[in-house]
Amino acid sequence: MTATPAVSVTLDLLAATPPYEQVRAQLAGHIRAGALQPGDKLPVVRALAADLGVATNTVARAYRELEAGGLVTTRRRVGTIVQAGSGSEVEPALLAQAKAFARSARVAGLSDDETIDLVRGALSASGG
Amino acid sequence: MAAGLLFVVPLFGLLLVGVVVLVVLAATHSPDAALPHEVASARRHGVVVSVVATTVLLLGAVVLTGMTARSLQGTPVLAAAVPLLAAAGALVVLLVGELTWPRPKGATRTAVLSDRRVRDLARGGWAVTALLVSGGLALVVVVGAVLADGSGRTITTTSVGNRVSATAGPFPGVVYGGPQLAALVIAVALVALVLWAATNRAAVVTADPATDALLRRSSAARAFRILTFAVLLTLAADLFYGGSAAQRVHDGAFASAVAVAATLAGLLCGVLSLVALLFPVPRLTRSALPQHPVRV
Repeated sequence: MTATPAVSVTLDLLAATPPYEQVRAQLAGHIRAGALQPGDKLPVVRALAADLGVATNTVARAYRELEAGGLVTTRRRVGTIVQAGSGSEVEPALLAQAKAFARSARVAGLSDDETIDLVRGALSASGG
Repeated sequence: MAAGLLFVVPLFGLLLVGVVVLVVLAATHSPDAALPHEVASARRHGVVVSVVATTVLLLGAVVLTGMTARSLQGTPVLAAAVPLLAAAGALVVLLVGELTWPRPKGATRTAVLSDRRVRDLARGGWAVTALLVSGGLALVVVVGAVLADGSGRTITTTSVGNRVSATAGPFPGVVYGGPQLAALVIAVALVALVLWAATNRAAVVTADPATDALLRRSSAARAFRILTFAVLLTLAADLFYGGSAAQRVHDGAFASAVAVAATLAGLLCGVLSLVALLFPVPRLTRSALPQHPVRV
């Protein structure tokens, strides 16, 4: 048995965000945070759709959006893989701060949407 | 005395294998209480589907044998393919079991990212065994077709001047081998479908990736086990009847030796088919239980 924690995607079907966007955003987050490295293979569309209990089109659209954003590339026979240079070259210190913030938000009992709203608010306040 | 031993020894061997399998299963069985609820359910589902499939396999063989014998009025050509046709029925049960379970429930669903491929399930001892015996059956059918006479169901030796000297049957010529090959193709195609379904079905919630992979390997092994059993049983019949018929028409030392060897190989395949059916598939043992929870 492996003790390595696995990378996962969580879907909230009651959330206002469309399911494909939830999948896209989380995969993009994993890629930017380095949890998914260049060359890593994403699951086959049908398999991930089955695991999440959604239509294959939902996952296929998320993959298409990721490909359009230059984060992954799809090749016949190989599948969908994380593209080299797709990460935003985040500094380790910044990444650690992001993780610490996510943990603090969890401890504070904030939902994912509330946490993201908080970040958006902070970005707006800083003039971004 | 010798004939009695011929049946007693394999039966005793089978009994011994059965007892050993039961002891090993009991010693390594992990109680449901030690497993996450969903994983325990997954194991129960696998066992139930396997039992239903095995019942369909055995009952199907009996029913099909009766049907083919009646419908063809004493010339049971399709009877030679009964084990493989019954296996096809059992494989359909496994396929339905994979396609109807598990179903993700609830508004919040989590999927661990894992790259699953059909070829990952088409590996290992069961896959290799099924491939080897299937190849062996195809070879026996081809050789049988070459050696059989024009009727496709008997073997004939001719003396000088093309005078018929002896004919014996049943012999696995084209008449018997054709349906067998067709049934083999169907069974292999169904195994491929089971592998596809086992690869693409939803993951068991709360199962860590290794446990989930083990459950998928178990599903694949059950399909290979049924195919192996049916192919070995078909091989047993072909070699036993073919060898026996050849013994009756050949009097040369080498040909007779080959015929006797084929007959004995047929008996061996018969015993091995039952051993294959008894042999356990990969499963959750105490030592295989996950030690770490999955990070969600």
